[in-house]
Amino acid sequence: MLLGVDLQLLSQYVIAGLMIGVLYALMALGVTFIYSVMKMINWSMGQFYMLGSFIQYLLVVRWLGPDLWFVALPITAACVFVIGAIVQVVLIRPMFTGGIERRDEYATEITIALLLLLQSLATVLNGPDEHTPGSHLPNFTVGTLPVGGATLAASLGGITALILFAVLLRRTWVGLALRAAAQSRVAVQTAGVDLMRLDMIAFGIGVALAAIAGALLAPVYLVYPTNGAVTTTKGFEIIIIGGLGSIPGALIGGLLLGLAEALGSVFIAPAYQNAYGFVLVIAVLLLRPTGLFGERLRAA
Amino acid sequence: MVATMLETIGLTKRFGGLFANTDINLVIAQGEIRGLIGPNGAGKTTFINLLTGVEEPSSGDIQLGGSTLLRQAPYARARRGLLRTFQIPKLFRNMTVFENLLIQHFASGDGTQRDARLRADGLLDMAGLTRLRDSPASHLSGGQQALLQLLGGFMVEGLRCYLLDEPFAGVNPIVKETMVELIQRHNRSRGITFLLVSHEMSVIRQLCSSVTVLAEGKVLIEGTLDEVTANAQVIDAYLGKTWS
Repeated sequence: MLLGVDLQLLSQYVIAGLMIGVLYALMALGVTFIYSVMKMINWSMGQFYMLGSFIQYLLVVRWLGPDLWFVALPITAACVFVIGAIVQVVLIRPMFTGGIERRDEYATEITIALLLLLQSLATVLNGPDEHTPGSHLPNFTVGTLPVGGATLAASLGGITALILFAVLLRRTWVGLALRAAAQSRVAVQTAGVDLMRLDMIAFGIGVALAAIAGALLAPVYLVYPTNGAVTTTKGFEIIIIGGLGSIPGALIGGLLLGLAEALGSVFIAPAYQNAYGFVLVIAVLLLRPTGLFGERLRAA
Repeated sequence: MVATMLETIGLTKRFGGLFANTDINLVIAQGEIRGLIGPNGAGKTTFINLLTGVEEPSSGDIQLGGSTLLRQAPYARARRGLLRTFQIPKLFRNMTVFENLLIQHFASGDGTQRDARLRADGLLDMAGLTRLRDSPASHLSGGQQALLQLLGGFMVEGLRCYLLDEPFAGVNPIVKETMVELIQRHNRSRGITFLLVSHEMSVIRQLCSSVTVLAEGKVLIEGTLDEVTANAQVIDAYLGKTWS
């Protein structure tokens, strides 16, 4: 017993917090990854999470069934990658090629417009109804804490996605180009890399990461047209905590947010679960305004 | 008659009312090492930016091996064999020395990845950087960074014309000597053409049979280093009119 809290109970909440933190990290990673390569913020990331959850739901309910959720997952990721690549070519690429100088502002306008478009489109096509693809996975108990089978599967799926992402960045040629572009967009072009094509790949991968989170959490958090809003909020909380453009920052920030929510629920009250992240955000802003892993932006 | 490698025709770049480059006509023969000198602000870096597509010219044409480079993206120019270095080395600082060379594989177009690895190790060995192969590029000294940047272009199988923007700035004499040797070796063995921007007259004398002087965005004079340095206009451009 410590401060009147059972240590076993505490460790269970820590584990539960880290499990959901992995998925939070996935939500934030897409934003930070796209920013690191393209130096623009994609405000419509939550809607790609929503797209991922809907595609996963349709695949599972119409064709594959809940037992084959893990088959649906890569298909969902591939679909959203393609959608993202098309969005980059049609909507975002023109900002980088013309003589337009204020491209940050255009990126903001375009991606917020996209946010509204995708969300409204989903509402028109689907209505406001909530769905679930269902899950046949058995529930577990960690100590005395019950953990849903779908939640555990989502967490393990998230870890797998993070590992694959790391392998892509560290071990492949396109990963080498992506890492290089994150450091100098000019030098990578004069080294012979087709940056517009690389941007297309980066944008596709970034939104696919959010879609994977949406697909994995579909049985847990339900599927409906505005389910991306929470992702957007939590994603940007994590980015402030971890630092914009930092991949380790997104990972650590996601885990910290999961922990803060879990521990806040135990020590204070579960009702304010969504508020604890903001306390963490304010603390980080006070102590380290650039985020844990962020770098101060240099002018020009 | 030696073939022309790089040619600019009436190349002009305006930034608002400022003419950074005005009507530059330059012909560099294949296999030549051309020096490009001039006082600070003469437009040398702008000229290289125009050649490599980092900026688009206001008017004029650029031809590499007889066909135009205009409106081609920087990566496409690199794949046609036009490579460059930057005055302040633009290395990928968080990546290893080895990875900084590998990235140049994209300019090679074809060629296997295994070739790129062998080539990178060969160049590191030649330049004496092998022990730093797996260190982050940010750990290198200024001179080593300049050397690594120079090696980058030599990675490219199809390299034809290499533009070096102040490659020796802040580089110690020993590393400088290594760099000069590398330039001479690749010039002789592969017939690579160089445009060398530098303030180091001793190196220019050693490497360049002819020199172009740029001042206030215009070509002032072309000739051997001795010819141009004896020219009164050049002395004026460097030192100001009160000296003459």
